[in-house]
Amino acid sequence: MRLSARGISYAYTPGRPVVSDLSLEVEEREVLFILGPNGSGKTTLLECLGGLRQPQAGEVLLDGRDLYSLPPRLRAKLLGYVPQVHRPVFGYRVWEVVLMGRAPHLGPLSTPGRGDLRRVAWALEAVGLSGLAERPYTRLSGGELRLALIARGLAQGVKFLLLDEPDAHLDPSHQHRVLQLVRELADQGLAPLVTSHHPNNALHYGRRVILLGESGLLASGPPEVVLTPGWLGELYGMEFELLVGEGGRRALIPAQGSSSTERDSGVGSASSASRAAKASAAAKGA
Amino acid sequence: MRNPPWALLAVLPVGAVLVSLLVGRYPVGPGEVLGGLWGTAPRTVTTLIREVRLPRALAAALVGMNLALAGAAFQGMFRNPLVDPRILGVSAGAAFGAALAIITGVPWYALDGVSFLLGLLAVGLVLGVTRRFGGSILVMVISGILVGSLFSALLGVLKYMADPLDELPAITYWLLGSLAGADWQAVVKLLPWTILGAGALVLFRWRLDLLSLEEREAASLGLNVRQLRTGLVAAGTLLVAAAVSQAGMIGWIGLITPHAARALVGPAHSRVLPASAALGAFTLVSLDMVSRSALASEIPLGVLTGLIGAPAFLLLFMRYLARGGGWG
Repeated sequence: MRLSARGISYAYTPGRPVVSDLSLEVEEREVLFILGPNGSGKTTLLECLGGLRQPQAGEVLLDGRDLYSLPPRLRAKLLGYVPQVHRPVFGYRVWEVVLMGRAPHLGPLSTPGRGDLRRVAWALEAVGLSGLAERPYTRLSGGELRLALIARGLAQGVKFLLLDEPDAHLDPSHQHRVLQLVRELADQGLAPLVTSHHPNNALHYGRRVILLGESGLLASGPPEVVLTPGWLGELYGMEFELLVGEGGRRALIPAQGSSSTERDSGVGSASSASRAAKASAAAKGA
Repeated sequence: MRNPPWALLAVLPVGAVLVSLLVGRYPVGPGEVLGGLWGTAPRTVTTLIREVRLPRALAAALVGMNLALAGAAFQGMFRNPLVDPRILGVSAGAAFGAALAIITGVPWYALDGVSFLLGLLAVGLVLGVTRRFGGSILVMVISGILVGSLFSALLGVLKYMADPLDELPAITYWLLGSLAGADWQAVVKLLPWTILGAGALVLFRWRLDLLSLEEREAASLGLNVRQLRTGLVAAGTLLVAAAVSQAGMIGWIGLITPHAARALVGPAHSRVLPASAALGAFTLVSLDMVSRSALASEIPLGVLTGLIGAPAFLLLFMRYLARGGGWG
């Protein structure tokens, strides 16, 4: 299957489009990372692609059919959404949350049956949360909650899974667990679309990256081609340095003495330097 | 929570109805109650049980059930466990309707009809405004508050115009809430709405869980969120309007019983709805029993639910804090 956007635009206030005249294509098994500074329209783009926010111009096509004229339930069988922020109100069990993914497969008045529960068990197994099935999902950690919502997408049986900053607010091991899973799911035929603020995550887990700048699409292509100090410098307005380790593994870090807008004041940098010195002294003392 | 106490939840309302047949100013023993139900007791006892206490207990059960069901549905739908089913102005409309009926001299047997219709009209206005301004839940809540205060103001106008010797006391008494004089007529008027409203909520029980997600997320699961919400508002409004038009303003039941239900059976609405209904019926039958037997004259039911409801809610809230924030 192929999801494509053709010249889509979206503006919250008329005349100031957040997404403007943007085109892209995603296919199964691809892990597409969308990178861009705050306010560049990553989430809006994701929602437009997910059938959740109809672009004011252009079209989104799913295998050539207009996504926004598909019946909502059919659309929900093909496209799933993992929001960046999910505020639980009631403490449903984890399995009950995953079961919600079966909604598009059920008639308006019917309730889930045995087959749906089997699908839930499989999805929980796939993300490694079987042991937490009975826990109220209000008591999951941030990483576990992301996994539970991904499991909901699996129960939903979608072809495209849209993840809005799935690596935000997670420690490195949970980031790895979530993004490694996303990549494995892509190997099994899913197409994840991931927004992120971490170029290194895009480099390690992405198969294709698009850079979304203030004025639209900046670059698009395989991670090692797009994620260069040059492009990132242009994207974020600060200098990056590329480190290449053993076996050609790459990482991008802020360049030494790079001038970002936050380091302009001499006082600020002095105090942050002294704070760093204190921190390292404390670490040695311990 | 592995094993929800369903047996207890079934026994509570039935038990409360049976006990309430025993309680009252005229002492009747258990044997006589059975005789009265069966028709073998003396005629005064039979009449008392069959025509006074039983219909009143059943009306209380239905009113309690309606308020609790609507409360559970609205709390789920508005994604907010502090929502009272009166949030959309239904009871303000119904109160205005009752006062209007009293002032215009509508016969007493039609008063509840006027009140019911004005309750529906108020929420109809809210739905219309919501639809006109985009349909978000925020718009719905704000227009509910606006319509509610509009009808409260109109009620104030009626109170000001009312004859202070007979009409004003009648309005005031009605507003305090009471089931005094609830007969089989009341039961017959309540029952169809309870069946209709509760039936609709039961059909949508699983979808209610999904509506407690944020709107965009629920939409991503293929739900037509706004249509579903409108349907649930309609069902809840029928339940509350029927209850208020028969019993006046009775607060707290719709806010608190869903919390107690969640504590007993967990947050999934397929279990919360029946548990809320059972607890709502139990609570209101019990309170009505107290209201008519504790003092020489009746304590208005709405006053009693307020006296009990506020501390009960405080207890629930302390439980919420003790658990580090987490309803149900």
